[in-house]
Amino acid sequence: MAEIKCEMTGVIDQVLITVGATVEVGTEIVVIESMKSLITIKSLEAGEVEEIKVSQGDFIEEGETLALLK
Amino acid sequence: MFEKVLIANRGEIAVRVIRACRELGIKTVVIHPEIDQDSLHVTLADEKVCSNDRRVYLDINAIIEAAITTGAQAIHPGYGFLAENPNFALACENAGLTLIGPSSHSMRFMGEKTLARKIMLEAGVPVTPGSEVLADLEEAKIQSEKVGYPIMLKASAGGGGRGIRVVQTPEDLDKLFPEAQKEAQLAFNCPDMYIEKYLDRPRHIEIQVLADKLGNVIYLGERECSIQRRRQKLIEEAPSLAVTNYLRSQMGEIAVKAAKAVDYVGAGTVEFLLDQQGNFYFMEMNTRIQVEHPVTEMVTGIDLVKEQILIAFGEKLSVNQSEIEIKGWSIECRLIAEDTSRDFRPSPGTITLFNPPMGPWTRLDTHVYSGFKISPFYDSLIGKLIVWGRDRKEALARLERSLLELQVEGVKTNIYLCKQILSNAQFIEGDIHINLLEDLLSQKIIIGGIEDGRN
Repeated sequence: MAEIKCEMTGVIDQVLITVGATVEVGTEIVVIESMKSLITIKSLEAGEVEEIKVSQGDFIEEGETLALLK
Repeated sequence: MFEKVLIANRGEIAVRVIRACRELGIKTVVIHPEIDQDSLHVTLADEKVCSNDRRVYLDINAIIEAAITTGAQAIHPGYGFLAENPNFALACENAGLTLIGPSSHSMRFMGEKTLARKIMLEAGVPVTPGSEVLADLEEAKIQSEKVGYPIMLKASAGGGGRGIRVVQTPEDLDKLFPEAQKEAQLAFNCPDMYIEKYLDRPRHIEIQVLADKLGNVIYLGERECSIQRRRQKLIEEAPSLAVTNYLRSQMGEIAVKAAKAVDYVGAGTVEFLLDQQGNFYFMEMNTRIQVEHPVTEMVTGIDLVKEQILIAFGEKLSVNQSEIEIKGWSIECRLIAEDTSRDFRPSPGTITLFNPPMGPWTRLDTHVYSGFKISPFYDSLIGKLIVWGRDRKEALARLERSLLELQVEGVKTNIYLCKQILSNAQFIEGDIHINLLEDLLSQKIIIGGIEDGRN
């Protein structure tokens, strides 16, 4: 099972995927607000979204898991 | 004098204000969220009010209450957060607290861009040829023809570069007008647009003014702030190579006129665009102390933050116009925690090593230190490195030397980018304009990243 990790610390501003969706390498996963900037995090993995670990407003640290793929 | 001042801000500017207060014998209070308790401004303040809300720097009621409870007589808002919010100024006025800044009226006049343009035109201040608020696309077309293409579409409630489009032809306007309106609606909850003539490669030149409550207004020369990226200033200097003594007095007198037109009190900055032919146009007035104020302090010898406090207390300006002399050259670079190799995304985290540069005529305004954790909740400025030299050449060499001494580890910074700018031939020549840095980045003459494995 592949995991999509978050590459920066911040607050989840938007979740751009849904469970069951197919993601490719480069698919936009979430928008994170960090230091007054909005940064789009893209997937480094491909697969079907099995579980989303975050929701809007959550604080997330670099390296934590955003979603699981099957 | 005030006995106690509350500082409604954080970071390097809060530290700067605490230093000015201490030198004036004033006690300081800060209101801060828990996550900022290790920040230098909290350590240095005489009294602290801790909140569990990380948005407390924007909480007007909590700030006013903290000032009243601790017995502070005045509030310094710094820059950003509530510094230019007329509702905050009004709340201070209503609570019987002195805001160290202008009145809510002056803020309101200067904050609404089309209103400010109108007041400036009436006061005889040159503004970029343009329009008032446009009713619709048809009117936008008529006004654009009048001004002459290319034009800039701008949001009336704007700021930070949002809701702005450069329009080359009437056909482009069909597409860009609704797009900019939509962006302005989203960003500022107001779709009002106006147009301004687009200037080719202008410089950003701003004039520092000081105005007391007795009606005295003076100017303290210019700052050259053309080195920008996405309309965020990066390197600032005073004076400017493009400003002669004659132009300085012309711009200075116009800036004084602008301040007087809105009954301005305090330290303020009148921003102009200076075109290649030497014409200058009013852009906006910032009704606060600015990030880049130290370069003016270095060349005039005047402590602007102390002046702000003295003015707010009702004192007469400590200097008059004829005593203002521009001596030598000062340059500042903003130190930012960002990854310049990955589209300048912010780089929060723990600073594992921070070795500040020292030595002659070298000043570092910062709130960070080794072991400091940069929070992802606030902006990415970690400090400002400012130097003074007898002339521009000496100042440049000193800034380069200081950047070599500066060590920051644990987070990514823009230090290497600053070094490249300082050694760029066009920058050294002084042949600069507001699009230069973006041009150099897109041509890869200046690149992101780090140097030899270190920031």
